[in-house]
Amino acid sequence: MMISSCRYFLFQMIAIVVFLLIQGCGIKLDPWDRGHLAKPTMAITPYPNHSALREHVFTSKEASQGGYGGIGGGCGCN
Amino acid sequence: MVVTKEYKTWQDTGRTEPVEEQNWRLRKSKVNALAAFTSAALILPGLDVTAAVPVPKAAANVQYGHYQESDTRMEVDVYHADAIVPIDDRMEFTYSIDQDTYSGATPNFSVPQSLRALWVKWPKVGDKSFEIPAKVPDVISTASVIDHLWMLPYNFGFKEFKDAVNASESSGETDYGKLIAAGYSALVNRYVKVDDKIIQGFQQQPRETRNMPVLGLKYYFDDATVGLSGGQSNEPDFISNFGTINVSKEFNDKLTTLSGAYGLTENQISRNSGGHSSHVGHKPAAGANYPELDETSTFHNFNLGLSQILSKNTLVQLNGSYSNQNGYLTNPYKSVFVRGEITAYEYFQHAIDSRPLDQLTNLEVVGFDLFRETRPDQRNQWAFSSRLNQFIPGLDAALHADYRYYLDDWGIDSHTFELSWHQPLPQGFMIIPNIRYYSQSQADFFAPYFLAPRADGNYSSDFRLSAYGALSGGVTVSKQFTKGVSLEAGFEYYTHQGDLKLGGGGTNEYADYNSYLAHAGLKVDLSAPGGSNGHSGHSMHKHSGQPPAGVMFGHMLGQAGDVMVGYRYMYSDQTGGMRHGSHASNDLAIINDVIRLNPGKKLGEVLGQPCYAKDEKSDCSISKPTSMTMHMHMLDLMYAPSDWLSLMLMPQLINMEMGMTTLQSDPDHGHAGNHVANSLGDTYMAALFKLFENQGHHLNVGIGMSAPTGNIDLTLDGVDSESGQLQDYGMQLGSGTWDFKPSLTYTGQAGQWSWGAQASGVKRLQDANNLGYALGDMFQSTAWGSYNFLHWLSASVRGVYTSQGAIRGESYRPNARSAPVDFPGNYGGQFWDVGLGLNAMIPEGAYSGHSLGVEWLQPVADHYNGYQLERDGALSVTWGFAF
Repeated sequence: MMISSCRYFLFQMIAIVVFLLIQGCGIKLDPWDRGHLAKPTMAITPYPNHSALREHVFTSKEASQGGYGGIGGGCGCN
Repeated sequence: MVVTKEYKTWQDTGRTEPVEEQNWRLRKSKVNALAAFTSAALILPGLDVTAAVPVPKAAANVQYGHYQESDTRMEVDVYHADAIVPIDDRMEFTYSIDQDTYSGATPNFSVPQSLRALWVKWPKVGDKSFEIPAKVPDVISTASVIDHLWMLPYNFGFKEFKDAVNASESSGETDYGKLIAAGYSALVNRYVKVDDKIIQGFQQQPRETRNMPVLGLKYYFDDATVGLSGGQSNEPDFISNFGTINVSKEFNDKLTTLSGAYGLTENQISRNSGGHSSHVGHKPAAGANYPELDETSTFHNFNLGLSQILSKNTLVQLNGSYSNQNGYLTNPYKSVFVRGEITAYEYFQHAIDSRPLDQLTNLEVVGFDLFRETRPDQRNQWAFSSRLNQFIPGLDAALHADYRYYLDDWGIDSHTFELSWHQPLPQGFMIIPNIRYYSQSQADFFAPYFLAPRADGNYSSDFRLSAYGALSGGVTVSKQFTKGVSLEAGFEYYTHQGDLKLGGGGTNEYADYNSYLAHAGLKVDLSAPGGSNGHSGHSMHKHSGQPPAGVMFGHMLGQAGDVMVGYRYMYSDQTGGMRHGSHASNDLAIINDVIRLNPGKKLGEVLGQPCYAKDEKSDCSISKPTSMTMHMHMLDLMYAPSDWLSLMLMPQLINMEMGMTTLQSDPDHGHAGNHVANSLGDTYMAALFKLFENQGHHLNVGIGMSAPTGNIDLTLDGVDSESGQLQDYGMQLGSGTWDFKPSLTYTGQAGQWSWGAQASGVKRLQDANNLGYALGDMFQSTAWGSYNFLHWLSASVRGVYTSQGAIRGESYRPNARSAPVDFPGNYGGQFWDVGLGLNAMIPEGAYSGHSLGVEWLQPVADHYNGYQLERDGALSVTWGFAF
């Protein structure tokens, strides 16, 4: 059951990726159209230190780890 | 004074970005023709992983976080600092350091509530105490339970036990083993009721500190980046070494970025006996039964990411990660309760055979036993996330929506949803509310407690592997000041509840708890919008006003609006022999003095057992300190609201270590070993007023305060409890009182020569802190002269006289009375030092505006109050950046 749900999910993810790539390839953005995207608030992690602190707490208190792109070291946090 | 003029010059120079700097950015972007429109677009590659140019100028962050769980559970202080520095236009270097200090109670196992009745009945066994309070949740020593529980019904015949044995006997049973088995069965049935409410047993986490330095290097190709980083996380029972490599490449006119990363983590896990105390060298607590543990684990992490710009207002990022963990993945301190499968009779056979517990296999357990948890030695984890950033032009705001799905082969899957709204406000403010929901299923081998042994031998009752949901929400506010300085503070509340699990079916409410996380951070980004763009074109020839590094509150900022960010490091060392007054002291004199300070005690009592201290758990022999080292890391923030006033804020982190040796022949009775203390110290605040300035003469007065933010109740065993025995006065991190710190500073200069003098003091504003004592007041006077032998470098000579009073009053908390450091009279004295120092101020180039100072203070004469360890000297290093 676990395997099948995992497969289903993988399939979904691949579908989304393909969709986005098709979407993305279609668009063209001139440099002067990229002003909004360049705003600090549009960064993936606008406050990296705060994000790292929260991530540290969540991974210490929850079973789930990873998935957000960052790879770091471990601790024996209780 | 001179510094004032220099700052004015900087202002006049203007702060536009140097032309060469713009040029190289343009070169990289390959869109020279559109230079007028593209300044914003060129920062676009700054989208996190897709960053295609190094930071143009250095940036640094400091952050403090406080994590607190409900009731008296875990509490963590997190200190973080990092810096990112460009090496050339292709490469940047990053360094970060994290220090966590944690303490509090942590759940260790859970059992049916009916078992609690049994706990309360447990008697003391000889001098091995179970320390079980009658209240729930009980803080108990798991180790002692594991050690003794299996013998209890046998040794202490409970009523149910006796009744069942008697009943069985009167019905004709004669086999002794079977009689005892009947007793066990009755006890198990009576106390392990399957439908009973569940309660948790807690274990005290002694105060411990984790350090984690990380180094990184990033190289930028035209449309790709390669990053390498590595570091170590170090705590007394867990050392983790890790390294990562990540590569990212931009496609499609920078609308698409693909990235991949691999990370390797190697962990070494040990388990300190005696309840992992930071009090190294002390004998383990009675009854502690943690066997030696020396295990390793290895993690391989892989990550693939894709970020894609969908429109001029929309960006999406997808990530997939896989992690393989193998080795020792068990929590070495957690326990599980298993009501076993083999018969009570067989169990009894184990008891009478006196087979040690560690020879029992996983299937041989029964009844009232706690065992250490066991997890599989493999774990495969997958996680997929999608992040959507949507810009809302009408509000100038951005919405971030994240979702993550997680799955592992321990049977856990989870969903994480997160929304945050980034709303800029006038005057550089930004407000960011966020909400997060998390839900996970339980691990295959999780249960609050186990009715029967598991065939695979895996057990855990760790709440992190249970089924639950968690909801959290918070808000962060940030303020961007001019000159690239920004401050940020936030608060987030978190609730963990079985009932919040998606679709229901969560673990019983016994494991529910709440927590909050508060944080505050400061960022200095020299390339931020509005940031200082350096002082190129300006040269400074004179900086004679800079006092030697060991002088605090010595200089002011010259111009209204000026900001200085600095770091001050102080190291002091005492490793000489013991001194009394101005002379060396021998061990006999120390012993006699400690005996004198323990009036009413016979010599034999002082030198051996029983103890003469206030508290029966105290150490019992006379000892002396052999070394004392202190490292102080101080953040130095200064702001001038006007040219006659500078405001300062100086939080500090302190690390101390003291070595002790016993003065007695029997080392087993000694109070020998190392004591450590690491955490936040007292925080200084000061306002410096310019009184007089004319032709190279400058006079300022400082009105300073010290806030009692440093702990004064650090205990020897590291456990935060009211009854714990305290470390000595000198090993506490603060004064515990609000202190007044006035200063008066004069500086002068002529030609290449400069000189100065300062009188300063510390007056405790309270008669006693909350432990009933106050550190002595202090007066210090100092005078120095310095000569500029290069236009950027000067050398100084300084004389210092310090007088500090002894401690007033005495701590009412139990503390040892066995070493000179335990007595208030053995603090303070009169001290004469000579300081030799160097001051450098970088006048031009990429690092202009930076100043660096180093000073060594060499003791030349001392007069100590009572008996104290001789001072070896102190080093001060300061770095400052004014802009």
